[in-house]
Amino acid sequence: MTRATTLLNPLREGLRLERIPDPCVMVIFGASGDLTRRKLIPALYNLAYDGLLPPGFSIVGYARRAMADDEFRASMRKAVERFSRRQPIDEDVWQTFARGLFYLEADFSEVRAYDRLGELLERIDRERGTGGNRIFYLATPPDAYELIVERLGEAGLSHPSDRNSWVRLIVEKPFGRDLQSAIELNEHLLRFFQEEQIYRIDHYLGKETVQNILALRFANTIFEPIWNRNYIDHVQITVAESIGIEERGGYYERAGALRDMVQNHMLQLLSVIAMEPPIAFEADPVRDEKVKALRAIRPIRPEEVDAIAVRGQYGPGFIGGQPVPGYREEPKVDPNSQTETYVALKLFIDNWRWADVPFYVRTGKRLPRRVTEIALQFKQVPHRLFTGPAAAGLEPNTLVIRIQPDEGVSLNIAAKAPGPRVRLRTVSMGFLYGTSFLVQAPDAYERLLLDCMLGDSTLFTRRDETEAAWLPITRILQGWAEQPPPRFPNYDAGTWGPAEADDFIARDGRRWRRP
Amino acid sequence: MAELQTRRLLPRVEGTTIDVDAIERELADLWRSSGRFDARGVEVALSRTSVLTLFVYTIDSARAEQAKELIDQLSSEHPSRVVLLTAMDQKASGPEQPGAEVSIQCKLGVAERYAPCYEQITIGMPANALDLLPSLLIPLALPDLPSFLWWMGPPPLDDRRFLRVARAVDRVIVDSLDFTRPVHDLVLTRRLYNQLRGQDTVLSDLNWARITPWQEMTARIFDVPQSRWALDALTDVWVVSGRFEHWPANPSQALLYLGWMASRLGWEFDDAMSRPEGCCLCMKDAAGQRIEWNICFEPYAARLHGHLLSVRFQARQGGEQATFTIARGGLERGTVKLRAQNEQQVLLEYAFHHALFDLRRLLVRELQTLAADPLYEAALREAEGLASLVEQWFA
Repeated sequence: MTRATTLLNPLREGLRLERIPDPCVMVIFGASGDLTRRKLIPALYNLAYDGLLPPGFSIVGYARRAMADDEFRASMRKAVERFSRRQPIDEDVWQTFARGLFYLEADFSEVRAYDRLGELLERIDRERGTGGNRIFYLATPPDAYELIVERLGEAGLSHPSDRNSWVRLIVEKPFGRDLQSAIELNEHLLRFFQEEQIYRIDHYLGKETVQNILALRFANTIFEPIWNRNYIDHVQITVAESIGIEERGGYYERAGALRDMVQNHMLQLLSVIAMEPPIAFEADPVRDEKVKALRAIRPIRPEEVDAIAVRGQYGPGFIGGQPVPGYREEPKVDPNSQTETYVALKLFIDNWRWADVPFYVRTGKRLPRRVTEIALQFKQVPHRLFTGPAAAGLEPNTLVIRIQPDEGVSLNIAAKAPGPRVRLRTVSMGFLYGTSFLVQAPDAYERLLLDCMLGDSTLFTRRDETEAAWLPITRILQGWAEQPPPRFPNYDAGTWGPAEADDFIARDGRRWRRP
Repeated sequence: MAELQTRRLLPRVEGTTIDVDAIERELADLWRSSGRFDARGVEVALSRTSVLTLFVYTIDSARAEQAKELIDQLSSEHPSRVVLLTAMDQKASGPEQPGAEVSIQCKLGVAERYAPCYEQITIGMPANALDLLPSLLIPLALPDLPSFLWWMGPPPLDDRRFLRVARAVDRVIVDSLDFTRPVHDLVLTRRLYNQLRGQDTVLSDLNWARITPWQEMTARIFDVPQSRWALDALTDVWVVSGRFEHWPANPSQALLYLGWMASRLGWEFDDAMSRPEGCCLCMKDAAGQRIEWNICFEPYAARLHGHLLSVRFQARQGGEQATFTIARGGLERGTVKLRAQNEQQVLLEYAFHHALFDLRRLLVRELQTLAADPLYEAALREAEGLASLVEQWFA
């Protein structure tokens, strides 16, 4: 991490406002795309509105579409007006922000364009005092990553011009298609950038509740002693979406649920739940522990994939009372597509803490409701004092960490219902962030972009982490490739997935939660 | 956002001013008996989450009304038990007499199945009841949670009983913008701060928090490597505050701001002089260079009386000269704008919206802070010294 110039300023010390990064320029490759319009520019404007961007902060939009600086500014203003959580737009803030917006029209492959980019960056350094500090953001389709990085390296833009400045690279998911391609991409990036310069973004990690898992686990004494195989029967991680693939048929056909959700978001959640306490809340100690948890996932042999994985694809059905088409009827989808839109896995983490505790992980499109949660189900009491009607319907203790919607934590406990007879009921003790703190949480991108500017990579994934997450996923993909094609579609839109998934967990004497 | 509200007036018992046990009993009963359905008949789970106890003492009913509005807004970010204590007019009778009311207020709207609720206790206090206050603050504070006392109106800083009141809570929040004799009371604030040092109570000043955006912008000027030289080469500073024409000037913000810079940069006082539009404090920096610090006032609406409106720094070193201006602007003057320029060009322009100009946001920030602020302590120490020098011109 670069030492901020602010340390040289005696007025900076002890101020109550948040950390302010060094002046810098962010170059967004793919500046005319959806991600830039919907997420990046609104997030950066929100940071500017809150005074969290450094003076002179500038953005260079790099894309193929022909546009002048002013057109780019006008287009970004529309994006902020539509997608920013800060409304209405503040004229003074916007004017200052917009003065730092520049546009470079060029093809990603054009060698000379990177020279022009270098000249523009030098000019911005001179005129806006950005001191040679740069962030290159790859907001392009993944097949352009290697080319852009190579061109940046060849143009001498991948390394800082002096020891007081820094250069960072943000890479969006998907980070490879399997373990081999992830390794190759990593090696390619590392030919031009150092690992410390690379920020692999998984926006799930920028969500407040995911960060709150760390607070829940490591800022409270009461959970950690029971956070292990001695007390926990199993863990269920659910990321259910009621939406389909929307306009992303082309992408989704190549990805599928396993690559799109499990390899990144869900294994990130799993690693945060399963990790050991880090020695410090800093980038490497936190990521060291996450990597250890991912590496401890029990190796999967291709021939046993059926025993640990179920896949599904939705057919036509109803969502919210409205008929919706099946996956194969979606635009840009092969009518005979074998792409999975649902996946359920049973993973084990072979270490001292979690030996033989199954982690059931499931995700799907067109499920009945949108919900992301992690449920830790505790074991039954060792000796049942209450049996028969007194304990009918009593559920084991469950700690549920809800990520969306209704972010919060709830704990189900048994309590005696009032009355002369002993009858137990399961009651939920809930702490909902939304009902306790009604404030709007910052968008995940705001947090992550600011962290990158500050050189804090705690919430970004490291090379070994990405590769460790790809290993089990690749084994499952290999296993599926060796099997006959599945009989898709196998669940109706608006249901909780294929019947096979229910049978799959029922074989272990358990059942899926209905979140 | 829809609201569920249930309230109960406590019967006044002859001879008893305020019965704390009765307040707790009534609150418990309210929780038991509160309706679980909203206006549409939909079942709602009432959730009670508290992160602190907030006592608000208001010196009159007009401020009490303002406090009620703010409390309602604050509950979104700081679910708390709120105890509103209002000093009643001594001559009042009937409903204006001391008494208490308890209520549970719930909000619907985020996730309609759940309604976050907070407890509000409203107590009418006899006037001049400083003796009585600790006996209410201590038992009404929720156990194991921090307690804050926000004193709305001029605090009785020269009354020894106020120290006992302050000691009954974890943090006392005053506002030097409300001070009756702003300069003199700044001296008394320092005395109270010192008396509380080493105790469990921390004293804070909302007016100190108000200068946070100014501090941030000032620091930001000199964060920029090209401007850093100017910090050691300042020659003149003009600090302009608003002044409502019928009210005496309040230089508290300006003095705290100067106190902060002086404490951070090791400036020492050299000389002071009265000026028609304010005063000038001459400081010397560590190298012995003189800096003229002009405190000026500009006629303005009552809502910005005593608030900083602009700060301008001038720096000169060798043949180089630069001017840095920080000013409030934009809608409702909620934006801070910074402009740095030398004789040839504009070096830097910057603007951001600052939530801390809004009282609600200011309080939210205050309620998130538990530890003492060493910057405030150092700035107050300097400001007190300067205040005693200029007191004669602001009496």
